[in-house]
Amino acid sequence: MERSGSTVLVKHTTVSEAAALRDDLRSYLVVIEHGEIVARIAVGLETLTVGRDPARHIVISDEKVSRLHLQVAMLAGEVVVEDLGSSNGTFMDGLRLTTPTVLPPERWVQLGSRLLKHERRSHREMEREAELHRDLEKARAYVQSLLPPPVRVGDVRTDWFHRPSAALGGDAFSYGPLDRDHLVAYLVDVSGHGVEAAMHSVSVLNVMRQKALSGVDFRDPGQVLEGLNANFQMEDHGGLFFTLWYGVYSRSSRRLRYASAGHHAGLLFSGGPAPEHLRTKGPMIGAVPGQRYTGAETSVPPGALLYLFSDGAFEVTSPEGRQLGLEEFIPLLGGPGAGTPGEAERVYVAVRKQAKPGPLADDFSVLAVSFD
Amino acid sequence: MKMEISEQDGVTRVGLVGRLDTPGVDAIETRLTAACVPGAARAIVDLSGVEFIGSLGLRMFITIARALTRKHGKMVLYAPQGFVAQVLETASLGDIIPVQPDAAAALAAVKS
Repeated sequence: MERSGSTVLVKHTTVSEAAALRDDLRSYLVVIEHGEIVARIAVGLETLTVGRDPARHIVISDEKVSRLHLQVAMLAGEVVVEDLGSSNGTFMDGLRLTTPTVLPPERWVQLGSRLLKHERRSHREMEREAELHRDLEKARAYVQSLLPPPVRVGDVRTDWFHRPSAALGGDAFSYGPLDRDHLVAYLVDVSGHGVEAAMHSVSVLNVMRQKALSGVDFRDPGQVLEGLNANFQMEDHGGLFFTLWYGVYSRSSRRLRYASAGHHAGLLFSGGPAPEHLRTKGPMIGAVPGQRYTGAETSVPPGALLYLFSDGAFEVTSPEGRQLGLEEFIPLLGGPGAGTPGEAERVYVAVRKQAKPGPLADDFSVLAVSFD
Repeated sequence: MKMEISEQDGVTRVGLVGRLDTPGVDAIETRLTAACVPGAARAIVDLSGVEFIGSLGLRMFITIARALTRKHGKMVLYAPQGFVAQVLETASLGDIIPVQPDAAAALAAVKS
């Protein structure tokens, strides 16, 4: 299997056609990079070598991976990994491997920033998984198509990065003009993640895009939250609720009206020592019938930056197992490069560096809005 | 996620230790629901040992509390710490389920 433009090249080993068609379980080595599966190779009779050198069976372009780093072999039905004297080591459960070690199914080793995970699957399972993956990819592409493109020119510009923790997530956001003077931006985070949460987030997004809330003035954040709450009570929607941050900016007055429902603050950086936390009190949408929501307002000076983000962006666990939060996340915002294209993705990379290896536990969304 | 359930003086007491993330909620939700809802319990839940709560944990408590309310039962949470206390405050969970600082206040609230 080869992926052009990626950092991982895999050379096939010979696999018996008869064996491939049976339902017998086979071992696979899965290469995981930044929480994403980038390669899967069957572990067979041939010993697999892993390293930075292009001659290896699995090539990993990572400066912390040695040219010949590791070998993986099948011995007596077990997958055995052996570090071949690498400079930076191979780790399992945080311990550096010094001898050949059995890698049980669903466990992994780490080399550099990559994880190699052992999976046992039948060929039929692999085919079903591939089909499901294709369907999920189509669904993911559809959800992604609902997110508006970044705005790179004009007096109000945006940049964003979105990475669901599973193929589909419950985060969604949007922004755009309400009229000549008013711009709106909002971020939705449905409880949980996966297909169910994604479907709910799409429903909410479509109601918002079509302004399908009867009697609601979309320039009034309180009314919008009340309208959504009336239409999305959790008993009517599979027990799902969502948090929301909603804001409306007036170009003529440079005032930002906002309201939040169970959501942490949006952060407004205006050149001062610390950002302004923009949040109003109120429970999640769908949790309390008839809940009243009241908005608040603030001024947006020239050069200000507004960040909206889901809790998956800052509720991460460090490699030592410590729960991180907003205190570790806020310093990643508003620094050099703030307000420039690609900033939101750089924030994602910085968060990934703070977090333990493996996929983030929750969906990651960051939206940055720059005001001239 | 570990859970202990006991009953004393007509109040169901629940102690939780660990993370209320997706696997944590999966581990306890059915048992907690079964212990509280069918009998329309008056239940107090000790959160002092909970180090993390995500949206699924919030959803679990809201769902159980609403089911209890319909059956004239009640659930009160108490002693959330640090990160968990912050999450409950951000979510305004206290507007939905009473949250008390300690066991004594929780007992008084659940009996009222």
